[in-house]
Amino acid sequence: MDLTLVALLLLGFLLATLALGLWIGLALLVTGAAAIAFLTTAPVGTMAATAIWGDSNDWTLTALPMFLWMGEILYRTKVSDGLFRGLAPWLTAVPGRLLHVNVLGCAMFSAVSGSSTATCATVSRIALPELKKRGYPEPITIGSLAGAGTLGILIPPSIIMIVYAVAADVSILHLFIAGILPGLLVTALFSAYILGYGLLRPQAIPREASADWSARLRGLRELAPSLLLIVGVIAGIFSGVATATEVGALGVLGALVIAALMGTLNWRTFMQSAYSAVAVTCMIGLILQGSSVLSAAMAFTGIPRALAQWVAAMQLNPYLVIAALCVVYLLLGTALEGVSMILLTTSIALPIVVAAGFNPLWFGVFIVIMTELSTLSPPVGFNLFVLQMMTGRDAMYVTRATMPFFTLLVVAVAILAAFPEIVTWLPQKVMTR
Amino acid sequence: MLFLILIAALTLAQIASRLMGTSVPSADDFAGFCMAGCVFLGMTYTLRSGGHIRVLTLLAHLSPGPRRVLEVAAAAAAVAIVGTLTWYAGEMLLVTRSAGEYTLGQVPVPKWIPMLFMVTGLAVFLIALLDELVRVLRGGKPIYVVREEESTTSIKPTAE
Repeated sequence: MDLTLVALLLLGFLLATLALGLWIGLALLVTGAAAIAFLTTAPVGTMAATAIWGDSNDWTLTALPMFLWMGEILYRTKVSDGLFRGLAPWLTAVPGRLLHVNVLGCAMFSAVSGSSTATCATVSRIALPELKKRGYPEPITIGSLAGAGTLGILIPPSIIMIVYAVAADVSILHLFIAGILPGLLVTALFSAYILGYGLLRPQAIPREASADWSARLRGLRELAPSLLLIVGVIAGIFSGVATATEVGALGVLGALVIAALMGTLNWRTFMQSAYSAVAVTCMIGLILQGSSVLSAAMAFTGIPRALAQWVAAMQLNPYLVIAALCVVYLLLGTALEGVSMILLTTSIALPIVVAAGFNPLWFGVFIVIMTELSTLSPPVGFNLFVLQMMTGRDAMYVTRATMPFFTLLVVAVAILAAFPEIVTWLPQKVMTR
Repeated sequence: MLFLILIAALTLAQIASRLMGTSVPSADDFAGFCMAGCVFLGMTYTLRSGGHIRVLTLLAHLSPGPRRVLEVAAAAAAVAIVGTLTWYAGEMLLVTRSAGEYTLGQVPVPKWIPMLFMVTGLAVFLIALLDELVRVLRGGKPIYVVREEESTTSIKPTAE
């Protein structure tokens, strides 16, 4: 049978099982098993069991629960209050004023959190009521929180990056390092937008009593715990001594210390954070198991190789390939969340992208930004959900408020496609050292 | 029983974290086993807290009748898939044990021992899925559906 036809049939089968409401991991698993059964003579059950076992006792994966747990602990502390009070005095004189707290607070929290939903929820919890009380316009407040919240997975550490690194077999730490400059780029784009908004519509931004230097220095003290943790995590990533898992474990310890100092650590929050981390780990684990079988099937049947050759034979402009993938991911992102999207596509898309001349690390950052966009795209966009619940506004309102920031992320993808060095320069620098 | 599994999974996660900092011989191997243990043994808890994700776009737009049909189909398919997988995981364990395979690390461990996590985890997961299938066949609401509905009215941090 023609390989393309089989690929299409399998895709149809996968979509049908997904629509049925089968758990995503199991849908991937059964599709992979079907591919093996149709195209090869290999014993399906044994292959599936071996593939799943082989991938689930992989120790590189242990970074996942560590960073999840760290995020869960910080989510239950008052770190975000400190971020708000610490950043606010520095920004009272800048056009756009405290709106910048949203972006910078999210960027800073991202450097200790691996999840964009957690980042968005943590910073919004304090910033939303504070900005509302001061009379800031609601749409741009919501938009900047939803948009900047997605930095959680671009600025290391990042859960999504760990998942991609495992799927694409690249170093987690190198991918983390690759995310730093693009993360700063997106932060700068968001801040520039708010700056422009503040300059063009100065009357929309409420006046603030300007803060003096003593207030700013006091602010620094509020920021200290987060800054220390950020420095610790970044230093750990760059040192090259620690593995990603060790950095994560140290992060957990640091987060526990901060929680203890802030007085939010007790048996209940400790247990809750651990339970949540386990639940999310298992959720990702089940999808990973399904994707192990699917990847094994793909490697066995040669479908991705054939597709990559097919795309390469068309001699397409590499930018066209990226643009096409961009559209595919935007569509996928409306219905799927990031982990499933990445595990579903990496084994197929990566060979194509590499054939088009892009680096696997670059594609990792690309796919992370695509995931960020998916958290902002209805009907299934987690950051939109977070802000819907926190503001009580409907999906349309929140989506519209987020549109400028959605567009800025697409602009960021274009910039990164034009200048891939933004992604690859820093990791190369570290690797050759 | 569920509680026991939870505690086991948590202890494993904690052991894993403690192992990371020190250089215990074969720590990588053990961390990997802990990871497998955590994932497989925690799967049931995650199911019952509505943590495993699925695409609800279609289901949410159906009226109760057709939705129930699909829910039954989804639960039945899950039972079939997990059942088959449990069977073959068990077979893999027995084959590995009779072949006497050991891990290659500093501390050799018979490979079938960590595989026990996978087999027991899957078996418990299968029982929980069967339980849900029976409930939905009797016209009840599976626990994960109840949790899924709750989670649209409360904020829960996810992986993204």
